[in-house]
Amino acid sequence: MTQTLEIKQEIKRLNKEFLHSSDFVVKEIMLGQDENAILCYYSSLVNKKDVEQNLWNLKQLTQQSNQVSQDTSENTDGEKSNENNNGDNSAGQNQLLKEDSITITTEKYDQKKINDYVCNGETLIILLQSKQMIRINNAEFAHKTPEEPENEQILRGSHEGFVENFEMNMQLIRKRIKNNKLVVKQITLGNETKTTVYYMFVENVVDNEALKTVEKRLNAVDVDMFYSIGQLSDYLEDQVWSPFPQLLNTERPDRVVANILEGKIAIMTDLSPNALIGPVTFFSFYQTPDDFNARVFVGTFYRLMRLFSVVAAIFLPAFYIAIVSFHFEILPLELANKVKTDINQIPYRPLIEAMIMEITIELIREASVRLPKSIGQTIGIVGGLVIGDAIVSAGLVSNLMVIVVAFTAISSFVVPSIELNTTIRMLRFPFMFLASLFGFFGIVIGTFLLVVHLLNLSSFKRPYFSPIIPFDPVEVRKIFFRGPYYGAKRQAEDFSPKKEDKA
Amino acid sequence: MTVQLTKAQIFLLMFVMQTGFVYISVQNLIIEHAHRDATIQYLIIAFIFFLQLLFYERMHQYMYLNNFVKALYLIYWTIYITIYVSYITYVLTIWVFPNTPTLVLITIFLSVCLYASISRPETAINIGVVLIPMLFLFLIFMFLTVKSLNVTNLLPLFYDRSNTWFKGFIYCTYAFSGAETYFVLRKYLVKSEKISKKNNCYLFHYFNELLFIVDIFYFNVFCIGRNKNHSRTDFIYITRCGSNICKTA
Repeated sequence: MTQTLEIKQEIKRLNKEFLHSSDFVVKEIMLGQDENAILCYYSSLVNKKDVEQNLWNLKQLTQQSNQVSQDTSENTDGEKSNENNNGDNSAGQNQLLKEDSITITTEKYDQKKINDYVCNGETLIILLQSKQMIRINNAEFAHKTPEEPENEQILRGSHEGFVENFEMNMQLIRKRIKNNKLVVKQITLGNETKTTVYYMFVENVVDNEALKTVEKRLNAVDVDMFYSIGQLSDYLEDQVWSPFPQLLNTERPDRVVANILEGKIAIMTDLSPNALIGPVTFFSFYQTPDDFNARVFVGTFYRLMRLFSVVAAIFLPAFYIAIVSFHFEILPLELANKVKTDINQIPYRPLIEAMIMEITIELIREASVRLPKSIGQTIGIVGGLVIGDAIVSAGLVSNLMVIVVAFTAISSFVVPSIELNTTIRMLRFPFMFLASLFGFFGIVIGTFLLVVHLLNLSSFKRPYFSPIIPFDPVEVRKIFFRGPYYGAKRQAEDFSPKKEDKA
Repeated sequence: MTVQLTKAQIFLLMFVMQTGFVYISVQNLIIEHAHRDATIQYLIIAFIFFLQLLFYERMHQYMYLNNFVKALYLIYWTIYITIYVSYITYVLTIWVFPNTPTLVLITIFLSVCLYASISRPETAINIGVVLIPMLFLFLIFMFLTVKSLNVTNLLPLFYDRSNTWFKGFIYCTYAFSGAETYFVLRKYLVKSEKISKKNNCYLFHYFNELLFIVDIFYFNVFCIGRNKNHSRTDFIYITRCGSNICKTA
């Protein structure tokens, strides 16, 4: 009677603590013959079938231990049997509490910890009589299946992608690095949200200075609400106000593996399929798994094309504006005449013309990203063909400008990283302004500012523009050419590399 | 802050100080005074400067800049930079922005330099690497005028030595302005590194010199025999000629 009263009070207290949330389940259950317990969990976070199965197993276990105690008590006299009957329940309980399994843990009852455990998706069985609690870890958080990420598609190689689940993600990594030198550490961020953040690296190969920086920055994060990978990126980056990403954001396990084998550190949360990788350089954003899966010449060719695309994406509209506004003399005579005739029919300056087209392209891109796939394609056709043709016919923009803007847009989408892609698309606007004000001189000034800014950047305190600065001729070659695997002598070959092999 | 530089960084710093301004500004003076023998005279002066670099390298530990020399050096560099800025402004005003106020041009130009100077020390030291690709652009633009070259402009050599050699030698030394920074920077070299004769030869000397020889040879071929105005040419004039030639071709 006393026990039931105590349990009812505890259930009332728990309901109050969890604010009578509709998905919070708390109820009294019977374990064995005499033992009453409290079962509590969030119905939205656990697999109910697993809860049922675990409860049934626990009950079976209690009955078995009671049976054993009964058999032994039959062989003793009446006086002793009374003592044994009192001890039956406690023996059964002890047997139950010692029965730890992969998903079941028992520990001392602590009111303060209940909140954390239940919020983490665990099922708790509270045994008030013995002041113990049994934790059943059968959390089932929603996540997608490991499909190829849509924004990082490749032609050859693995087509797996990360999901919003830590165990699944680690499985994808560990199946590629079957070695105990792969270390995963975790830290909880967000005083209220209690989000778990994981960082992983390969011991002996990792850049220790960068690792210290990561740990220091993660430990320094003091935030109440933590809910996105973008927040983490802001806390970890060296210079948040720079337009250039200083951490590589990827959803591909093969990319994470290739990077951590080079001594880098990958940071993930179980909220997002994205991994942040650092320290990285500007040129890391131009490499894709396709480079390494394709033939040497093919990989090299496309890598060079991608680097060319950066130059085109940033400078082409500015170059066009500079030529038509200031430096007409560099065009061949025939082309100069044709361009001049076209431009004379446009009622405003080339900068305005370029801005109209660039903003239209940006709007089309943004619209096609937000809309469902089927409508997105329609937007592409409407934007590309209808508006493109109509805008020239209406005399708002010249033909050559449409060609320049289309070429620029295609070049900007060649960049494999979405972050850098966005940055490059943004950067062409200041260059367009400078070109319209000062022509080539403006472009040179802008380029100089850009280069100085890139030289000032760092990723986890490692130079961002490496290997150009600090200059390393061997590594510079790798930016432009993808060499054969057997020739890459400086790449880490095992997990205990010689000193000179270390990343 | 203790500054330590590697061999490559010293080379880059010297490269920045010696090139750029020099590549596009003094050829016309050398050719004007040395005429057809400009290339030969330049080679002789280059050899003398190479010997001087070797001398610096051997004697640098005995050399010490006292306050007076430091002050002189500061004055020299102030004048040097002033000339450099005014020359750039002159070129921009004459060839590119005749209607833009000079003050605006200088402000833009110097604010970018200021940004680089107040950045991290590594940035200022290493920025020379970025100039290396510019050299190829420079050569490409220069070779746009290939069609108007006249090789016979170079001959006959040693034809008129009466008053060209002495002045030619003096103007050839202009191409080595900034070479003395080797003496100043040498003491910051990382202790474990040494600069051999070969390094001096390849890095500090011939890299600059070879490019400049191409430059001066080219200008020589381009200019001699043209009228007085054309002989006072400079890089932008040549590129403009190149583009006009391309247009009419």
